Amino acid sequence: MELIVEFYPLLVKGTLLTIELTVVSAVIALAISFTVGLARLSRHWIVRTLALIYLEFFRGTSALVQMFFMFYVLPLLGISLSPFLAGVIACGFNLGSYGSEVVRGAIKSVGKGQSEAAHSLNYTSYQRYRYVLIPQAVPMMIPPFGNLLIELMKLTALTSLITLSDLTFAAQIIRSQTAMTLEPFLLILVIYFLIASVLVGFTDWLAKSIAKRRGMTPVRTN
Amino acid sequence: MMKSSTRQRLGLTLAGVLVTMLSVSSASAEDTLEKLRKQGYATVAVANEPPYSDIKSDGYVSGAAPEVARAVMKKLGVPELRAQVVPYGSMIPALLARRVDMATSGLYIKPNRCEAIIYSEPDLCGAEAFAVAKGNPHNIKTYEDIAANPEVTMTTCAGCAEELYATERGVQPAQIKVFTDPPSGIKMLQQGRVDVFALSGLGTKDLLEKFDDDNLELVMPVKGVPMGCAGSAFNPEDTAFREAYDKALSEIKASGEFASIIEPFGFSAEATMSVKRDDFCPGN
Repeated sequence: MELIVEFYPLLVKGTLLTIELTVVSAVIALAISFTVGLARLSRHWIVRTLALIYLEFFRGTSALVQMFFMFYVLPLLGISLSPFLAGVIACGFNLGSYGSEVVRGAIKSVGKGQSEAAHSLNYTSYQRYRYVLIPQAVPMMIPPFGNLLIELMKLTALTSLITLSDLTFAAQIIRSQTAMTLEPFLLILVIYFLIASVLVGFTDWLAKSIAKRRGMTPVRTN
Repeated sequence: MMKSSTRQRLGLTLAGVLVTMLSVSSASAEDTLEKLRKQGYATVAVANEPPYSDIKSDGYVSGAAPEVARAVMKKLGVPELRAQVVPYGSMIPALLARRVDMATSGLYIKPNRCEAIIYSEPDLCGAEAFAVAKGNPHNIKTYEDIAANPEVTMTTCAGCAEELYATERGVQPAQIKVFTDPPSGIKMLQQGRVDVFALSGLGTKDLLEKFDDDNLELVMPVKGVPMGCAGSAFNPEDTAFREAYDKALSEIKASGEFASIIEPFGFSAEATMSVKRDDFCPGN
């Protein structure tokens, strides 16, 4: 209890930064998920190949190494990203690669007849995706996206290693100051869990509200 | 028409981003001290290892090394220090990447480090220490004692001077388990995952006082290793900044201000003022 009182400002700042990192990298990850996921369905082989290279690179290498690379190596090449930017780019790019598979998978799983019907109505491919395929795929994307969102929130703990004062960093400071280990870790465990619970609630709500608008049974998120 | 104007706008934005990046990188080439004076603060790397560097609960940076740097920088016309916590192993990359303007955290002056970065004159010197289980069951007094008994394992921080002391004295890499932060190292010792915890003398003493565990014991000083002397570290291009820093540092050493800063933290001003950077890294 004393711990919370003394280190209250540090913990609040850490929690806010963790939330900020999660939200910003989630936006980046979502944009990348759709860009890369759709690019993998492109008619042009070159676009498909580029998307595949992106996917395999960011999914196949460690997020921590990517973050260190952006933070310590890019400045040597003249590109100096702020710690926050390096953190959200590394988290967002990494999770975006997983997300692109969610997008691709969901679109692929829309019945073939839908695509054929769009063709027979002479829809352009933009219209086909925009008005037929994506709207039907989105509800299916929500549960796996919810999963990834929580994964992303936990991934932001890595940013404590590139000088960002997030929640994990706050715990490390408390440990150096007080030599306590159980208490600060238990405390941030609970805070992480609470944030995750909010994220679960949000995806649940999103799934339900989409379903309600379309008058269908929601895909359960948990 | 619509399409091409969007594309043009995108192109302009990209060009703008590139220009900003380039201007940011060229800004680092101008005189660093001048830049710090203008912005009114310096960003320093600290490791959060009391009493060398110590981050208070409100985020204020204290500890012997940052306090010395604060006094020196004030003399140089930079009123504020802003700290970033960087593990010892990442301090040199952080300096080279200009993530920080200087490192003030008891980074020992070592020849292999001098190849990459430049140091001020020594600002903190201290003996080395071990923490062991009560009664020192393996009778560990020196690094040679650890090397002689392959059963014994030790922990220290990754990339730290202590790791080098150990390997130079015959300790096998398999005997060394590095910790990510000093409290974790003491935890490893408490839980019996390692037999010896090695770190700077005052750092170890501070930790043992905080842990207040009757089952642990301090071995200090560790014989057979040199006294560790640290200085503020700089990017190798910042020689002018370093010279100015040295000059101001020697002024506060002469005025007695230096002793009044470091002695409350347990460091000896006399021991520190008896050595020079050239004793460790000639020509750095």
